[in-house]
Amino acid sequence: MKRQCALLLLLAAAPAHANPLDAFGLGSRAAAMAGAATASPEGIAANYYNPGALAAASSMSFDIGYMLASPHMSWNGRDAGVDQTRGMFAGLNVPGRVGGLKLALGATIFLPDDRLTRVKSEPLSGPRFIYYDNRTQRLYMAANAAVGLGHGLYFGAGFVWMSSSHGNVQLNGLVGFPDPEQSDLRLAIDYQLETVRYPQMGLYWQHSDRLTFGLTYRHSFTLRLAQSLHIEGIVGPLSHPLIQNGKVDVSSQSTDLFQPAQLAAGMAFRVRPRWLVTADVVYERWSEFENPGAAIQLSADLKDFNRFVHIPNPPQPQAPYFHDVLALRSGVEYSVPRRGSRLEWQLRGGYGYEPSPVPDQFGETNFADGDKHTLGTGLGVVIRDVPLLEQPLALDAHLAWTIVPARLTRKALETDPVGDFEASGWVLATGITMRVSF
Amino acid sequence: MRGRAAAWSVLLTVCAAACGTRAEPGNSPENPPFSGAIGYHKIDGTYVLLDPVADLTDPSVVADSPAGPFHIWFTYGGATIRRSDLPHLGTDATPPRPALSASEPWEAGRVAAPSVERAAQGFRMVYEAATDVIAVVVSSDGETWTGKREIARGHTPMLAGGHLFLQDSGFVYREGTPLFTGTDPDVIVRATPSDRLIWQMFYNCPGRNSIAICYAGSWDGASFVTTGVPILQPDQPDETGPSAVLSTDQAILFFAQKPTGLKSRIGAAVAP
Repeated sequence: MKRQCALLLLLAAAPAHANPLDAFGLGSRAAAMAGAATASPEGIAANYYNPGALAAASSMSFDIGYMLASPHMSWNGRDAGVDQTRGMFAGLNVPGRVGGLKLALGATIFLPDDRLTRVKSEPLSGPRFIYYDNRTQRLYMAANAAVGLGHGLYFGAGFVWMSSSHGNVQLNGLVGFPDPEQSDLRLAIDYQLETVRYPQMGLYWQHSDRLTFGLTYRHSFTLRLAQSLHIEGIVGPLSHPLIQNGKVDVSSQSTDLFQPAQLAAGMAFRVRPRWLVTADVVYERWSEFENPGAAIQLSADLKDFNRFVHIPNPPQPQAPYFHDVLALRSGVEYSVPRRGSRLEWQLRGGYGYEPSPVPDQFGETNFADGDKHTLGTGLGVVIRDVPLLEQPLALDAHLAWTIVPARLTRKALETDPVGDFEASGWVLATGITMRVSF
Repeated sequence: MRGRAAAWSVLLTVCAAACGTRAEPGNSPENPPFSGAIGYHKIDGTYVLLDPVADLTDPSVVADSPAGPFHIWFTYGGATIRRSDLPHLGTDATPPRPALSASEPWEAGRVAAPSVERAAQGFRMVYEAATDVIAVVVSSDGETWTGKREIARGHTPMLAGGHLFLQDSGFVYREGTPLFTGTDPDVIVRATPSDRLIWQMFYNCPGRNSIAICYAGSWDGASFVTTGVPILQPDQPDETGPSAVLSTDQAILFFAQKPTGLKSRIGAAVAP
């Protein structure tokens, strides 16, 4: 009974981060253990949690699953309308030997079924949840290679691909003035979704059958959104133009998504044959976070009318002064005795805590994220002797609940357009994963 | 057999979940916190209250909730005070009905510029009488007003937080202390979500070509900071006498507007 109570207390899930996998984890097993999987990733989870562990696998495996996360964030007790993240993920881990050297290749993809990517630019002072709003609805792809270095040590590295966008709109021609009917403008749009990649690498050390360690580095990346509008043309009738070849340029630069560099150190200890305990400490370099608000540049060449037009300098985004954080995660996995059955059940749980990197907001910016406590639970079953399969089939499911306690923001100025506010919320995430080994 | 069935059922579930769902449009942030300081735009339609025979000015609004119903007292024809009720924006207001008229000698036949607030007994109204008398009257139901008495000298009074705000000679005063240049103050005192009081004042100030509406805020009700620029520019020659209804995520600003050649009427703007 005491064991069961302890297990219930350790129910866990994935702590929230940045892109979909940062925020909600990869694979139900790891997500149920609060993402404390740097030293014990299984299957494709190694592609995210620790690429080095790919080479430690004994057989090829294919994972497929589905994940749904539903944030319920609120301002002053009212729903903030943060979108769901949901989608399918799949991946492959192919270990092998070449001349006695243990090698592995791994790849994974998260395919959102709402949208492949999302571009969003909010006003500078717009209140927002940096963690959940906009950042988690992304196509995510990763490919890694790993090698065994001997003495139970494995090293893996690879790249993660995401998308960035920029574009410009050009209007050329005649601007009819004062009669707009005489306008003759040609529109050209050049918009591009470009690939952004960042490296990740991991060390995995099987110290003994009972104890493993992991160390993973995920590089930072920033998706920038660049847009420009260029208007060039003649203003007035062609016979007597008021402005010949006048120009107006508007450009906007903003940050669409930021992921901090992360260094995760983890340990997995099999305290008893059926009990696995894991723990991770993750350093997140949030101090590099840039204000996601749009920096706008305006310029115009109206020839003889320039002296009548004064374009003030638009406000530029203030530095947000985020600070680095240490996130803590812990997980536990209990394997239920088989008692002759083909089914081996596993119960999982975990707890994760991630302090908010957001400083007190008393000025123009309104970043609302508070600390995060994640509780979760998971259930797995390994099915042996499945027809057509030499290896067992694994099915996992998880349920995770992230709580963001209320955070009060008190503004300095009596005329602040947003004013004091309270932000809070919770996120419910769930998913299933199936692993086929060969 | 059982294992195969489980595997296929999960596989089918995964495929169905991933392939059969429909993309939803992304949301803009909903219910963002909002102080009421800026960001007003006039509602569709030109007015919320109109009378064909009399100017309606100096509205004062008491709301049952931020979305209504709204109880509006206003100066009717320059010398009496009437009341109308608006269920919510976008609906028709009730026809103006008499609320208060001059009955005392010191009122000199004129009552105007009402400012109504909820009080322990029901409602309390301060108003302008004669040429520069500030008076107070109370009501249990908002319909019948009793106990008229003079309390000060000045114009367009407003009671908020136990203090009397008014205008005189183009300045906004708190009791006898001038605050800044402006007219027609409307002050709301409310607790912010962080449980401190903020004093929010809407008042008339010089605007583009005419009179606009400005905003000032204060943490103590004594020293106010203004936004420096109007928060609502007039479309009509004058938009005066603001009266605000504020909540944590929306604000409604009622005001009087007088189109050229037409009777003055009550208009409204909302934010954000």
